[in-house]
Amino acid sequence: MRKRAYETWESNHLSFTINLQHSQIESVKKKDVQKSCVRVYDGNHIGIAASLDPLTGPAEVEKRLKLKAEESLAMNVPYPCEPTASVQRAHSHHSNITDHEAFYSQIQILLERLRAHNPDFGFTGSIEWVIEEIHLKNDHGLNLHDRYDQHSAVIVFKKNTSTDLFDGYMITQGSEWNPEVIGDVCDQICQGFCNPVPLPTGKQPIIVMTNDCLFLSIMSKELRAETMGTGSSLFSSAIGEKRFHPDFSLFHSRKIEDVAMVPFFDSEGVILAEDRIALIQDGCIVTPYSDKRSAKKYGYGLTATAGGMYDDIPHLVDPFLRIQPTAPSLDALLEGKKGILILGCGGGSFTPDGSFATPIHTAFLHDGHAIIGKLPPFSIRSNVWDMYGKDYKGTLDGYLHSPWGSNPSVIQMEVVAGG
Amino acid sequence: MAFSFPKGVHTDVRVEEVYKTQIRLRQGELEECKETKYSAAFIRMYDGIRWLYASVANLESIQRQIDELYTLSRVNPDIDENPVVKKMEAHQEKRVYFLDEKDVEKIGLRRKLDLLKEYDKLLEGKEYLLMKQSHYLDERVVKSFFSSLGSDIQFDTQRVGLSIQFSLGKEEKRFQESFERSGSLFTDMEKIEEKILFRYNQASHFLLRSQPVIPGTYTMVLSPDVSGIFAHESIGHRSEADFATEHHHTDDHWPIGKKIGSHLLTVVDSGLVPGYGFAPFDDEGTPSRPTELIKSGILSGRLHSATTAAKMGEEVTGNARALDFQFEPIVRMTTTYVKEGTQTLYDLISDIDNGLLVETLRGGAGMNRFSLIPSLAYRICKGTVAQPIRASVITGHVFDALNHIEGVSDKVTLSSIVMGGCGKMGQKPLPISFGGPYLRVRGLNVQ
Repeated sequence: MRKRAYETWESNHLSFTINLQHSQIESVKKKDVQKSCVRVYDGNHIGIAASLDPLTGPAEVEKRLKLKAEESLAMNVPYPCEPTASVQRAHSHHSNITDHEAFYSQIQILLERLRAHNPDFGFTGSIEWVIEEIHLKNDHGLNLHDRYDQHSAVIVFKKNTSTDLFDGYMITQGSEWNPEVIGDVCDQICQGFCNPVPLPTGKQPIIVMTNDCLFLSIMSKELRAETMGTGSSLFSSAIGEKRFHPDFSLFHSRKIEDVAMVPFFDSEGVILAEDRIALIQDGCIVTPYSDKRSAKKYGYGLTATAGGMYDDIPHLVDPFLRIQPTAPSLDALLEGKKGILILGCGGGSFTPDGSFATPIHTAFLHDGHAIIGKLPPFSIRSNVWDMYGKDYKGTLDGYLHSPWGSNPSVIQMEVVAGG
Repeated sequence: MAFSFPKGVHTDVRVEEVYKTQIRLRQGELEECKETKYSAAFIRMYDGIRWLYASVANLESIQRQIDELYTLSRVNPDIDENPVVKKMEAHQEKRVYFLDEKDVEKIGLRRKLDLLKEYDKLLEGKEYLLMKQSHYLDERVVKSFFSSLGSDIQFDTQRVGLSIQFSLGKEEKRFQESFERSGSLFTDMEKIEEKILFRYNQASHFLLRSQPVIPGTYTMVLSPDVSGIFAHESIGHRSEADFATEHHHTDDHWPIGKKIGSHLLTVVDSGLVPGYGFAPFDDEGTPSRPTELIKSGILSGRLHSATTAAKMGEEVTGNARALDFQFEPIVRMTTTYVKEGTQTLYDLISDIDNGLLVETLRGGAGMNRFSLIPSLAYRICKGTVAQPIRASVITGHVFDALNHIEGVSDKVTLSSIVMGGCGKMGQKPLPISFGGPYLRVRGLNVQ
């Protein structure tokens, strides 16, 4: 019998959430949830057992889970990979939020401002402060620990006279909590809303928040290890080829500056040099993203993209994609033209052959410095090869208005009225 | 369980005992096979101004959480006269349905794994198959609900689902589709081999024969799945009363009594239909009541929680649902479907000269300009289903589309999204069901 390896994964999640309804504080929620998991490896299989209790303490949770994990080995779930060994790293990052009372008061002030500056709009959503701690260790010298606290705000707004479910939203996340900036962004959006402008049609520079999952969804889908490895991907025959714009580089990142609420290690304990890895570099597809099982099966490198719920066997999940910035200012990317800033798409998609179309229900004309006015609904069309190829103009180094608008990209796309 | 509820506030406690199974095969290899069991609770307190919430995994700490929330509340001696509290109902009842041989926990992991493997093997070696992934999911939740009004309820829900996703390819062509089956019982998953193979054959035919759609405006026939998603996105979400209470001019746009669509259209939401949307009580302890949202084209009802019912002076409907023990209940749908009409599918298609039949979707969204992302779709040519077509998105204006419904077939089919559900205010994926008959709608755009 091969020697067993035992691994534990623990997380502690504390959150303080303030829910907004009709521009007022509707409720306050606190959550304190601990999750833990024991994994056992025998060299060919994995067994796993999990609990909503901490591992240590009088309940002897770890001992109990170890026995259950051993039992679950009998299901013979293949895992022909070694646990990560001999890696130790700890990281602790603190935001500028100090305590619940101050956080609550700042949100009250923010809402007073939103009501006073934008009486024709209603604001709904949630703003939360999350403190998370994750610890992964095993008896092969792995010991990884990350602690971070960040805010996350989703504010949905609707004009009082609107007939729609909502008119737009803003999302911000990160360790830099600045309610003044959130107020500024909301004010700009609402003021732009009140200034309708005509729609330019034909090929236009579109400003997209590429951390909006729609625009990079095709990359998540087609760069997946098993999709590439089985030949199912649009990009299967394109590894090593320069198929995109030479300025276009796409990373999977676990850097705290790039992505919120994720530890620097994946659920298999894989870490990256500089906490990021290029999937596409200078227009050339470098590697798919993988977990240990798919990397082994198809001969790819490890990219720290294993994840899952606390009681899952680690498996391949979507990467945290970031485009390499290329320009210091938005007006440099717009080259003196006015751009179309997308705030709300209406559920479009990429087809299997890479064509793209989506209705746009909230968008603004932007001059590179500020929102000018609101555009009527329209649609945009393109395809993946052009979007990140000849029609890719670049990505801002920095954020547009707020950390929410991190690294927006400018892409030329066909604008169709109505649609 | 017994709790000491403090005076001057409304308090309720929802305890969830959860059992679930997840099995996944990828390219025929077992990737996940687990059973999970846990108990946890969500506590709510209302002082007439704010709600205070806490969620705990340690049931022994529930009383402590109640006491802590109380210190944050503003005691209100008239809380029982508060309009929201007056809408809350108090019941002492037990409705536990999924016992003995119906209980998925009693089936055993091995039997579930064997069933999934059997279905997964059906596609082994199939022409054009590049990749496949098969999932089995089940979940049984026993909820106990207690409140300071005297509620003492116990009920259970159960869902079982299978999803087989596959990617096909020939030369440069690619296509992805899936077969899904959802229900309440393990036996709902049995004897479906023919249906899986039929879907695969449909997808193969699509891969080989589909052509890009000619963009334009068409009369379309939407399958039950598509009708259901359309009803869910474009009607259901608008019927959730928290949308209405946000809208200061609801009476102009979505008021009860207004004619909003074709007389052929009747839409219902009910938590009493077996399946993913089954919820005999909501998470405020209100018994589920079927609600007619649209009757013969006229807005007839809304979905409520106690808060929205109080705000609008209407009655609760049992639609306050929470994703799990970590979330508060908000207004959500259960099973939302278009009621059947009198025509056959042949009736709907036979006089369409140039239209589209949309059988399956990859997604959609329900803003005023709604969008549906088609997967399996076909031209209708001179009354016959003809060539498969590829399209990025179908759009239309909700208020136009509802009035442009020209035909409704005579049989309702319900389904659910096995590998997902409804998302709202960060609570995703909530299990729901949707469905309807075939619907014929004129004037929809496709590109």
